Order: sequence, then structure tokens, then C-alpha cells
Amino acid sequence: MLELRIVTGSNVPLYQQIVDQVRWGVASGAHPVGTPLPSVRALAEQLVINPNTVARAYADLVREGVVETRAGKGCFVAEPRKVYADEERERRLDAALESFLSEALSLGYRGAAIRSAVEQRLARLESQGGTRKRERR
Amino acid sequence: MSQTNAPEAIRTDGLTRYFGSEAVVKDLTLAVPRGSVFGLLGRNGSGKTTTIRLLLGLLAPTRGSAVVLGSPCTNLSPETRARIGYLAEGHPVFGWMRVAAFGRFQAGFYPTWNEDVFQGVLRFFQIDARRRGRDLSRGERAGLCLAATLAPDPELLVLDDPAIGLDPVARRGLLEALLYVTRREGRTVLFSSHVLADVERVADRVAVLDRGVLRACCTVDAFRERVRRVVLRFSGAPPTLPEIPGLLSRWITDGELRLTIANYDAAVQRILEGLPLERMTAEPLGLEEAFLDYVGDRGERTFFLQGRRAEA
Amino acid sequence: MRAIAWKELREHLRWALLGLLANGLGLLVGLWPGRVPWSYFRSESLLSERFLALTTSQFAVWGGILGFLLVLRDHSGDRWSFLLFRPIRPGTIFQGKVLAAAALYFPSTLVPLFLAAGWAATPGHLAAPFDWRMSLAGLADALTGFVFCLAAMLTGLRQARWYATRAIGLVVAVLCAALVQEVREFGEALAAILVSAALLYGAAWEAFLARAGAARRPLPLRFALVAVLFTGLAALAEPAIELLALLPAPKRQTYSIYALTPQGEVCVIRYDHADYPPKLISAESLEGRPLELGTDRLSFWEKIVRGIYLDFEPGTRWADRYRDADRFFTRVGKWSTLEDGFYRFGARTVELYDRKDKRLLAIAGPQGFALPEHEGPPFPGELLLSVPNGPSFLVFADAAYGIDEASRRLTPHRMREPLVNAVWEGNSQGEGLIAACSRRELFLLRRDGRVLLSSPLRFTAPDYDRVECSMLPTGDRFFVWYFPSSSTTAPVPGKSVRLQLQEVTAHGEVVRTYALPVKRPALVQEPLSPLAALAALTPPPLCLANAIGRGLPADHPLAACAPLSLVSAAVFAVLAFWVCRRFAFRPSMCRGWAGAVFALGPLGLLAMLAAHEWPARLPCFRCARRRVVSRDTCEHCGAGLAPVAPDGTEIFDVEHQGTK
Repeated sequence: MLELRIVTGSNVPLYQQIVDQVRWGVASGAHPVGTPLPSVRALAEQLVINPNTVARAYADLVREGVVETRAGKGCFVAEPRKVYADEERERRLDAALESFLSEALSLGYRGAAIRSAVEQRLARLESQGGTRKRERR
Repeated sequence: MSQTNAPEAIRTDGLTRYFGSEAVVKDLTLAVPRGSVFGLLGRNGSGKTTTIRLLLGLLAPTRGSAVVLGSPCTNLSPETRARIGYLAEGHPVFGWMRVAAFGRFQAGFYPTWNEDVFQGVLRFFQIDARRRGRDLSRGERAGLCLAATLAPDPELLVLDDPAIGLDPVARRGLLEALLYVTRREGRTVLFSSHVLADVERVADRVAVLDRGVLRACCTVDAFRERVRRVVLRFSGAPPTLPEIPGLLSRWITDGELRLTIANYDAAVQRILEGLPLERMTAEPLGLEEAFLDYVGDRGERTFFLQGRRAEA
Repeated sequence: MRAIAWKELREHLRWALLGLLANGLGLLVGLWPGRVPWSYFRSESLLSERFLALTTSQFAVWGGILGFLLVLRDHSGDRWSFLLFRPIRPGTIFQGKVLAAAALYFPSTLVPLFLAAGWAATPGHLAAPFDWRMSLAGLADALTGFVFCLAAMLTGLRQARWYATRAIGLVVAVLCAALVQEVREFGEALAAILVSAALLYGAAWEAFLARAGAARRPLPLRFALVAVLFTGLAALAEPAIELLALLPAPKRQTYSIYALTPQGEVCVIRYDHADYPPKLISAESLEGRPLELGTDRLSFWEKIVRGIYLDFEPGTRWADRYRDADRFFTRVGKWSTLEDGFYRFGARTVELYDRKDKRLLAIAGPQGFALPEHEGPPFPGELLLSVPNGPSFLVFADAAYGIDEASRRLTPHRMREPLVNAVWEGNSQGEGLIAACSRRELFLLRRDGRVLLSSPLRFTAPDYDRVECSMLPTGDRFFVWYFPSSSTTAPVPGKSVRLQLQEVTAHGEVVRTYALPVKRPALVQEPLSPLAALAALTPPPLCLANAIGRGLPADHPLAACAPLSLVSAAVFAVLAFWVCRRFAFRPSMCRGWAGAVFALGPLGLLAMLAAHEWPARLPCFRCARRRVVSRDTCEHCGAGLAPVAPDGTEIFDVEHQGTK
């Protein structure tokens, strides 16, 4: 089951928070392909938010290809596929890098430290994903 | 009855109410779409309660008109009133009445009263039906009011500041109840609130009233997307700003000018880029901050902190 | 409506029980045996002054409190909204409240009242006769209390800009209470109560609907409100106008009268009656010779010989209203004894009570005293006169009866022919004389039945209507004055009837006759004070009522004001028209109000101002003249409203702009 948390009062809209968390969950391997997502109504009632917000988040997730809808059954985590053109993907990566780097630099970290932190994190993610995959097999 | 199938649950046209020579609600024109959860925002005294009373026909408009569920608000028939659930501000209950008696009293007026819903909400708020109204806590009173408002299964739910005086748990219960209402197709909720977190959670659309004037009426996302904070960094002292359309507030700190701008667009961006800037970043705001800057005092804000620093 | 009525009933039940207790306690105090100083001359009964003072005041206060409670508890904005917004018509909520008010008020007043009546009706509780109609006064007061309840509801509900006009409903209730006190019959009191209650009910309904946000209220209700406002304003303003207009006594009358000196000499006295005792101006004999009557004010009035006035026809009993105990019985006998005697008009018997243990001791008829259980025949015919404070002396048409309560003896004095009228002139100790007349004869009697004078009536109706009998201090010379009927009314032109004075002996033989020209009061008109012009503010209908209803002379300021009041009413009507135009009323409304104000005078204008909610008038953005905020377009230049200037910070959806 998906464990989502939302925070009100932040400058990230609620639907964006859902999108981000689902995306992260899928990317990190916490939600393998085929995991069912709760219905819009159920998630709205679980999070106590407007169903339209959930619907909008799901629509974004479907558009991005993270999630697919199966008629009459609801939403499921989809096989990863390219939704964006290469150019767009690069732009988005660039934007993510920029905000990450500006934050890291302002905290006083410099090149080597940042690089090693990123690599450590990546390694951990891969190992987690690997165990999940093994289990599924 | 064809009128009742209009796409809007509420539509007002130039609705105005004066108390003496003071306009409390001024030329209000808005529409509440059927099936939406509509948040009415504004500071104290901005005319939210008056607007709600006007809509429900509890006050006669000085001018203008409003149509609620297809009927003019000045002439709501009992049948139309039966389709509207109204939760008055402050959760009024009759202190001497026991909870069960209160339910029976209210049930007598509504042909569509659903006792299961009433009991369900009472259970949700853990209210003992044998207690008297005056012995209930604020949250329990809110629960009782809510139960009585929801039990007739209203088509339109009008809540006047339902979260007032409630603790977080009771507030959460209230929101769940609101969402419960919208589960049925075509049920509309109009509520006024000060609690932006609640609005962010449940509202589709918001209207912002400022001293009786409607300043904004749009979806929640549009509202927060269109109020932007722009941080301008200057190398030297900030220059005098040119006229910026939609400027809500500015905040000067060392070498930095933070502007909150409504309807930020390319034209505004060009104006700002014309300034001798070192750096400029534009970012969306949280709903609460957007609202604060939106209805707060317009113009320049400098903290006394800065003055102290200058003296030091 | 039932649910609302039940809610109000239940909500105020505790108050009603409190009211019931308070009312019961009050009535108990009102009937508590024992005399209080101010009611010494009255007996203890349901019509005693103490009891009626309590019913009048406590029912009015209780009604008012209940009325305020019923509206003020739901007064605060949100409770009011909560109560009001439910799927029934607002009028139904109001009717539910009134129904609850009636259901709370009437039991809490009528139950103690019926208990009190039942207690009073039970023998051995009050030392006075009982008649069930004596409880009508309390009933009228209880009904009036409900008028106060409605008035309080109106006052509590009204949203008037002028706070003082909110209380006008209470003024109408006070006026109704005053009428209930004053009218003769219970039916008239009931009519006054019903009319006041209907008007106040309509006005309170109107006020309720106005508070409930109804833009249009039914016309009859608006009429009721205006009627209440006008009546209340008139009840407040009319006495004030009268007081101010008449404050400097506008005229002073000097009277000339014929009088007798103690020596039996007829004289003419001129005196000034501006204050009491009258001031002597001159005294001279018929021949014009000045008489010495003393110079100080009192002495002349005491020195002249005063007689007993007697009309040829009996007048109406002065106290004969439904709330006077004197309608049902009158006290007879000596007031200082331990036994109380009452003559009952209904049963035409005398009842004797033990004042201490409230027992009925005996009943007296023309055949003497009998025990209560052996009631004899009643006295025949109407009681003409009961002589106060002493051994009872009752005068009927065919006979007079001396009744000695102490020895239970009855002494009849037969008359030669049936009496028509009898009066008593004496002091509070019971000393004095009785004058009585038949169709042809005049008598002067002592209370022991001794006839001092019997003389044929020599001048009778229609030219003469009353006599004055005087007895000189020596007790052996009698004078009878015959007054022409015209002396009290306007003289008939071309006919002069003279005042006749005869000196007669005790057996009626005429010693001497004087035929004297009638003296009329010489009027000295003083210039009207400027304040008398205020009388012109009296509404024309009240002027008319003053002139006709109260029989004021034509030169009385309040009657003379009629033409002036028409002028002032016209001026105020124009003013009302102007005000209505300024507030851009419909033309028919302007004309209607102008007409109403013309009929009702300046107070009508005040009623109009108080009846409406006047919209603010603010400068028009185009023509800069003041315009009414409740209209969509400016009444001067037709411009719409100044659009709210957008400052670029508005955030609207495309959809929303589409609706604009």
C-alpha cells in the first residue's frame, strides 16, 4: 500500500506533492510495476483532501507515464517508458540539478563532497532496488 | 424545475449590502459551480458572513441579486431552503436541548432527514445523545451542528466559518465530513474560513473578499500560481521601483527586494528585468503566504529590525 | 409551526413557572386580609384598589418580560440566522413564537387569577359580597398583559435607526392599559385590547419579517406598523402639546353668583376662580349696596349660606365602571364598627359581615334583618341614595329606611309620593342633610328620617331642571333656588327664563319670591401665549376629536387649532412628498405618503420616518449629486454605479470573467 504524506502550507501544491511522492516511490523501487494505487476517492478520504486534487495528481502521473489506468480497475504503477523528448528530459534534469546544487553550495559543500554524497545515495538506491527485484523473482 | 439544473449552484450579480452608509458587500458578482467545494476567504469584517446571509435570504440586499439553486435569494421557498444545509457561525445550539431532542427538533423541518447520517456524525464526534447543548465542548457542538446540517442530505451546504474555535482533531473531522458530502454527485459546498490549510485541502475554488470587494475568484491552484514572489538582488542600494502592475507587497532586506506580485506575466518580467539587477528569481508561494500578501496591507513593509540595524 | 412553538415553549417554561409563582404571590398579597391605609374606605374584594393595582402592574410587567425573552434570546446574529434558516416561511416562525407566548402567558396569569377568584368566591374568605363579574377587571388586566407581551416583541424585533421609536409599541400598550382602566364596560375594554393586540401583532410580524431579510412585506402588516407608530407618537405628543399650549392659563374667568348671607339677604358676589379658594372681588346687595363679607379668601366662601343642589332627574352614578366595586355594592353603616354592611345592587339587599372572621352575619330587606339562610324579599326599586358613615339610611323611590346594624332594627319612612332623586350633602362624620324630590314636591330630611322642609315644586321642567335648597343657620328659614335649564347650557335666543328664588316655610308656604336675571360668567380673555401655536401641530383628526368629542369651546386653543392644523398638515405633507422624492420612492408611494401625512399631520411624518428603513445617500460618481444606494441607476443622471477600479491584482478565472 502506498504511504503518502502531504503537508499543507508549503509552497509545493498538494497535487505536486502526491506526484512527487509516487514518482519517488516508483523510482526508488518501493512500488514495483503493477502495484495498484488507491482509487481517487479512497486516497482523497485517506489524506482528507479534495478528490479533484488527487485526480489531477493521477492525471499528471498518467501523462508522465509513471502510472497507467486499467479500465474499471483503477491505476497501477506502469512499466517505465519515455514520456518526454530527450530535450525535455535534459531540461528537467538541468532544472533539478540547479536547485539541488544551489542548495548544496549554499550549505558550504564543494565539488568532491557533493559528488561522493550523490554516488553514495545512488549506490544505496540501486542496492535496494536490487533486493526488491530479487524477491520478486 | 429546469432552472434548478443550472450549472451554478449560486450565482450573484452585483450583490450589494449597505449598513448605514457603509457598503459591507460591494457589487459582488460570482458563480459557485455545481459540485464544487468553494472557499470564501477574507479577513475579519471583509463581508463573508454578510455575503452568506444575503445568499440565504437572511438579509435583504440593498442592491443586486443572487440566484441560489435556481431561486432568487430574496424569495427562497421552503422547498428550496430544505435543499440547503446551513451551518451558522459559532455553532449555535440550544443550550437546554438534549442532543437527541435537538435531532428530533431539526428532523421535524426536513422531509429528507436521514437519521443514520445524524447518528453517524454524532458517533464520529463521540457525542452522547443524552447530553444537553450547553454541556458540550466547542468541538462537540460543532459536531452536533454538523450532524444536524448533514442529516437532511443537502444539495448545497453553506458553512459560515465552520472551523472557528476547533482543535485540529475536530477540524479534521469537519473536513472529512465535507468530503463525505461531495461524495454524492452534484453536491456543492460553500464555506468561509480563516484556516488556509483547510482551504488548501478541500477547496476547488476560492473567492477572496477584501473590505466587501471581490478581489479574486478562481481555482485554488490558479490563485497560488498567479501570486508570485520575486526576489531581486541588487549590487548596491535598491533603486526606486517603477510602477509594477499587480504589486501586492514589497519587503526590503539587505541588498534584496522581495516583491509579491499578482498576475505575474511576461510584461511584468520585462519591467523587472529592466532594473539594474544582479540576480532575479521568481517562485510560487504557499496558499497561506499568497493569501497573507494578498489581503494584508498593501505597499512597502520594512521591519523595525532593519531600523535597529541601521542605528547600530 | 408546532416544532417552533414547542421549542419556544420548552425554552421559556422555566420562566413561565417563575412568572406563575410571581403572579400567584402578587395576587395573594392583593387579597391578603387586613386593611391598608389607602383602601380604608374600600372593602377587600377582587375590585379592591390594592388587588387591581397589582393585577394591572404585574401582568403588564410579566407580559413585557415574556415578550422580550421570546425575541431577545434568539437575538444574536448567528443564533438568529440558525433559527431563521429552516424550510418554513419566516412568518410561521413568528407565529410559532406568538403561539408559544400565548401558551406560556395565559396559564401563568389566568390560573392564579381563577384561583384568586375561586378563593374570593368561597364564603368566609372576604368580608364583602361576591359577584363573578367582579373577576372581569382582573381578566381585562391579564389580557392587557398579553398586549404588553406583543409590544415587547415588537420593541425587541424592530430595527429602527432611531432607537426611541423602537419603544413606541410599549407606548401603545400603555395607551391600551389606560383605556382598559377608563372605559365603562368590560366589552369596551375587550375591544380596546383586541384592536391593540391586532395592531401590535401585525406590527411585530412586520418587524420580524424585516429582520428576517424579507425585502417586501405584506401591505396590511405595514399598515399595522404605521398605525402603531402613529398611535404611539400621538399618545406621546398630544399631552405634551396640550400641556405646552395651555401652560400659561390662557383665560381667567370671573364669576358672578347670587348668594345668601346668614341673615337671609340675597346678594351678588363676583369672584375670581383662577385658584382655590376663590378670591372675592365684590359683594353687594341686590340694590347695589356693598356688603361686608370679610377680606380674606376663605371667610367669604364660608360666610355665605350654601345649599344642596338637586337635579329633577337622577344622574348616572359617578362610579359605575366594570372595575368599580361600587357597581356591585356600596358600603353602608358606620365605618368604625366591627361589622361591615353592604348594599348589593344586584340582590337589592343589605348584607352584614363580621369584619374579623369574614362571616356573613345577616341579610336585611324591607322587612328587617334575617339570618343568611333565611333571606327575605329585596328592597323595591332602585336605590336613590345611601347616606355614608353612620347608622345606614337608604332612600328608595317609595320609602327611606333607617337601619341600625348594632341593634338589628329597621325603621321605614314612607313617602307621600314616589321620589325621583335624592342627594346627600354633609361631612365625613356623617353630619348633614338629604335633599329629595318627587315629580311635584321637594323635601329636606335629616338622616334620622325627620322631614325639615316639604314644599311643592313651583317651577319644573322643561324650563327648570334643578333646585338648590338652603337652610339658614337658625334652622327655621328655607330658601329654594330654581335654576333654568339654560343656565348650564347656551341660552336660547329670544327666550329669557329667570332664576327664581323663593323663601318658604317648613310646610312649603311661600314667604317671598325673587325673579332674578341669569348671571353668566364674564370671560376675560388673556392673549394666547406663543406656545399655544404648538396646538397647530395637533393632527387634524385629533383637533376634530377635541372640538367635538370633548366639547371644547370654539375659542379653546385646542379647538381653534383646527384650521391651523390643516395648514401645518399641508406643509408637512409637502415635506413628506419631498422626502419620498429625495429617496426616489415610486410616485404612487410618494403620493400615498403625502396623503397620509396630510391626514395625520406632523406626527404622520414622524411615523413615516420611523416606519421605513432609509437607504444611505452617497454622491453619484458622475453627477456628484447624492443618490440612493439601493437603486441600480442614479436617479439624477441615470448613471450606473462606479465600477470598482481594478488595480491589477485581481485574480479571476476565464470562466468568471465570462460571467461578468
